Amino acid sequence: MTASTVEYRVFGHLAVTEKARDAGTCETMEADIAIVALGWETRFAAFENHLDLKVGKIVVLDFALKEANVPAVEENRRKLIAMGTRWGVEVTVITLEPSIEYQKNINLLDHLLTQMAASCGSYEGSLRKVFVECSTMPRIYIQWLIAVAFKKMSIQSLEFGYAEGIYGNAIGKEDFSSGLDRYVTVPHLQGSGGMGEEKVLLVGIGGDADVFYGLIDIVSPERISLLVPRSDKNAHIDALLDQQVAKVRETHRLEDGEVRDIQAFGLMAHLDAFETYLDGFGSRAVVNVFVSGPKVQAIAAAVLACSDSRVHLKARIPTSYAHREVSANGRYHIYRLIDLTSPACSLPGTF
Amino acid sequence: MENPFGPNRIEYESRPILWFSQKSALISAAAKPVFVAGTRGSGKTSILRSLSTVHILEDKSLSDQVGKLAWYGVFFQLNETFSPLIDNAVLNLIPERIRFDTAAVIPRQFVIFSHYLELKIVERLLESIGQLRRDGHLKYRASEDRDVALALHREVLHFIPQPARLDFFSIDELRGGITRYVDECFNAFFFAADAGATGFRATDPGAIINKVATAITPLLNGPSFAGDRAPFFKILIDDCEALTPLQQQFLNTLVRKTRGNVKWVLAYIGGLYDTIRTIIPGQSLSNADRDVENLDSVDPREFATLCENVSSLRLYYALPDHLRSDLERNDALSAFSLKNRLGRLSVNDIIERVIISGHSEGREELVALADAAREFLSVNLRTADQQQFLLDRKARPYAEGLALALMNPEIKRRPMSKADASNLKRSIARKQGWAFLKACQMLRLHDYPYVGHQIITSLSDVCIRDFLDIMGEIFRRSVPSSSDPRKLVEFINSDLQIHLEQQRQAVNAASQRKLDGLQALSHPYEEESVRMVRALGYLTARLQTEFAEENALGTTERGIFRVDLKEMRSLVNRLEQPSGKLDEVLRRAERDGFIREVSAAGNFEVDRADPASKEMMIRLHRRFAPYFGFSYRGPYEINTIPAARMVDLLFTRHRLPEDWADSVFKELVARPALKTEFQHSLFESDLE
Repeated sequence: MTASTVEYRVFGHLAVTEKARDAGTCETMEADIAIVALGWETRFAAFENHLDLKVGKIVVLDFALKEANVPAVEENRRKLIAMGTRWGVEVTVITLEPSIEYQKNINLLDHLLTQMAASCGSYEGSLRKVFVECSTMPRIYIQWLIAVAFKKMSIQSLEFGYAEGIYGNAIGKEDFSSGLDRYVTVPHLQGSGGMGEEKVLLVGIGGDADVFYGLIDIVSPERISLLVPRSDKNAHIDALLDQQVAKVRETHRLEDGEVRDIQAFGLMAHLDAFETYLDGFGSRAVVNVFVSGPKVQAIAAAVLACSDSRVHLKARIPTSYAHREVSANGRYHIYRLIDLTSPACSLPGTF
Repeated sequence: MENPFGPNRIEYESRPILWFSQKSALISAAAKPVFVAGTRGSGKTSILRSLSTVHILEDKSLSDQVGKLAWYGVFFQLNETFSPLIDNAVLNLIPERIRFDTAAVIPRQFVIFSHYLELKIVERLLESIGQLRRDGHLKYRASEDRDVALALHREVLHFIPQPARLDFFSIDELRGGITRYVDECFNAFFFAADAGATGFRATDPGAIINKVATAITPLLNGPSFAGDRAPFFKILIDDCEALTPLQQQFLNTLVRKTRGNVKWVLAYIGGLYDTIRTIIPGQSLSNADRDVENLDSVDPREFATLCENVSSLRLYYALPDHLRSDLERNDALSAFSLKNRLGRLSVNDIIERVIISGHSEGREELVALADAAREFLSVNLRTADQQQFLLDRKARPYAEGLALALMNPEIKRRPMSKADASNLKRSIARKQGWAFLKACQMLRLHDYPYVGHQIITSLSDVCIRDFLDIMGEIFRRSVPSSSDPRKLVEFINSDLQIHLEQQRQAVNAASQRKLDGLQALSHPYEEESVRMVRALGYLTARLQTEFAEENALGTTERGIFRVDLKEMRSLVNRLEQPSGKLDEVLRRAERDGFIREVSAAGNFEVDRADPASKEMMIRLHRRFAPYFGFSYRGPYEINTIPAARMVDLLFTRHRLPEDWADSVFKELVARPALKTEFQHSLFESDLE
């Protein structure tokens, strides 16, 4: 990846680029640290086929689970340690509360990141680049990381890796749902303070569109707009989405311009769609954004919230995560976010 | 061509059409703060926006309606993020040692809350003033601009960093300073480890607004303003129900503490805002301090005017500009005659139409009843009193016939005086809704014809959004979406009644849709709502049309249900269901306009001061009437639903809603009968 061939798009003070790879020799990924969230899906380990990590440390978020020693998780843990030895990288496991206890976890992570910045940071004692494997990371953590990086300015650039999954046996929306406990505002991404002149709800839907209905009641928006991720890979997922969209359209009387099909794994496609919507809203609108689709939606939404102060980012705290197996389909996406205002990133040749 | 009634949240439209209603005019002139209550879709946002100066001056049609401005309005919406945000900030600012001392914390919370809110208001106010000057609506000079800004900075907003060049200071720059200050404070609240670093400067609540309003007043001078006296500052805050109960008291306190020309207008969903308490000991808001405008309890006639104006306005602006000259009445508010198009149909007219157009089975019976009534009335009433009953109408008096047939002979005596005659008329009128249902039943109609201007506005249940939904359906059926805009001109110009069959289908479709809309939501709380609406719908329909005994005369318009919340809560707790769920279900259904909470007299209940109230009286939204087949009017009579039954319906769910309704119906109807029998015999034995 040489500097001249990478095309960036700029949103707010962030530059964004993305690429997808199917197979071939592993790409070298240099970063100060890598953060991965240990999960039970086999796609968790997919990044070893695509990347050659050259990092100071691999930080593993090990969320407490209801039952100990789940074989799938242990298998992933073993693989990860093997990867660490192969690359000669230290693997640090951070034991966390269950992922739905996000506030406790975030406080702990905040401290740890500050500590690691001192030891591993390659730019003036701060982290210059962090690689995040987000295929199995809960959305709120992804979004919080982006906020920490680009709102709190404590990480100069982020690189996200995401393995596309196969949802072969998923049939109904139940196969995507993790229930809903409550909605929260993503820390740091609360927008400019909660007052405006019109209220809008922008929703990126996923397999289970129902999870955002509660927000309608909380936010009571005057306008709802949808982003529908389309990939043409699974006919039944598309059918499921059609059904969900039809339902939302009918009950909330959306018009044609308010439902948009977006390429499911395109970060720029999502950002463009978000921007088009935002252009249509007044300058004093309060735009609540909620996503429940592919992880890239979560990234795009957080980027949006960092670059536009009208945006409030909402996240869902599920009741619990069902253990479903999702395997990798071989495609791997890399999304890069760079803080343009940081000298660490604007030095020529650094990216 | 888009359906002009289609997007029924005003904000969906590229060009929102605001109507400066009578109510808006009233609020704009009020010298007191006004609290505007209403359910969802009752038009709160429209009223507030039509008072906002920026909105008025940006919108040609609105500014034409308003004329000269005698007030200055600043519009805001509170958001559900606002309240936790402030609470978060408060946590950071309060010293640890007093954090658990409520008496010490509340005043501090209040100061922080008001400081933030006032700054936000002032920021918006200054921004709008700057914008209006750039647009040429305000005509103050640059030197005045600078002087006012500097004076404000010196007197009130001195905690904002000193401007670099005093010569070029302006209101816009001051506004920028406020924005930066607020943002910095808030970022500091979230990020700073110690509270001292936030740079937050508390001010006396109310002081900022009072002083800024006074300082700004001389600038409000321009062609759009009536310059005869100092204008009121209307602070228009929408969605106040988003505040926590404590914050509501803070806001009330602020309302009380601001004086002079500052007038607050707060809008909220009825029942979800505390309109009385403040945090000043011994002081509360009374009618002397503020008016409460309840949009739900508008007079039906006023609502009918609103419907007519809104539909005319929408159709007028849906027309492309060049076609407006083709209108017969080229005026936005009266171009379309809703009354003529839907038809002024009495119940008798509708039944007459049905009877003429078909060969329904019960028609002979109905005609006989009506003829008997006509005879009874013309024989027993004096000619002067006969006027009241409109006997000379073409349609036969079916409703009167059905009502008279129900009456006991002793009530049905010959009316002696004019007062007696009007009493008789009133008791017949009260039966009208029932008579309509009964007639439909006798005629064995599948779908009841809820048509005509009166019935359709009544079905909307004073919710403009529901009315627009029904009108949208009617429009879709009469003007094909692909057609030429000229059809729209015809639709507006015409004074002919829209075909009744079309109206009937549209109304039924809209009613069905409302229920479908509820059913499609599978949010965990909605399941109970669907069950409740279905069950109460069937129950209401049965209660209004079937009588177990002959003396059911007084109880035709049943359908208000009393629910004993206290008993229900204890039952729910015993079942180990989440305790808040019950209130949540009822409140949500009410907020979303599926049920209506009413007082014993059938009026809307708005000021439910006590959230832990023991009982609640509810009825279904009237738009469900066509779907379930209950009356479009009333109801007036209360039935108590046993708490155990309600819990059974919502939580244990042994039966389908329909079966539940059947069994409760039997219980409700059988019980009073047994009781009277029993007491009757008791008294008789006493007498003997």
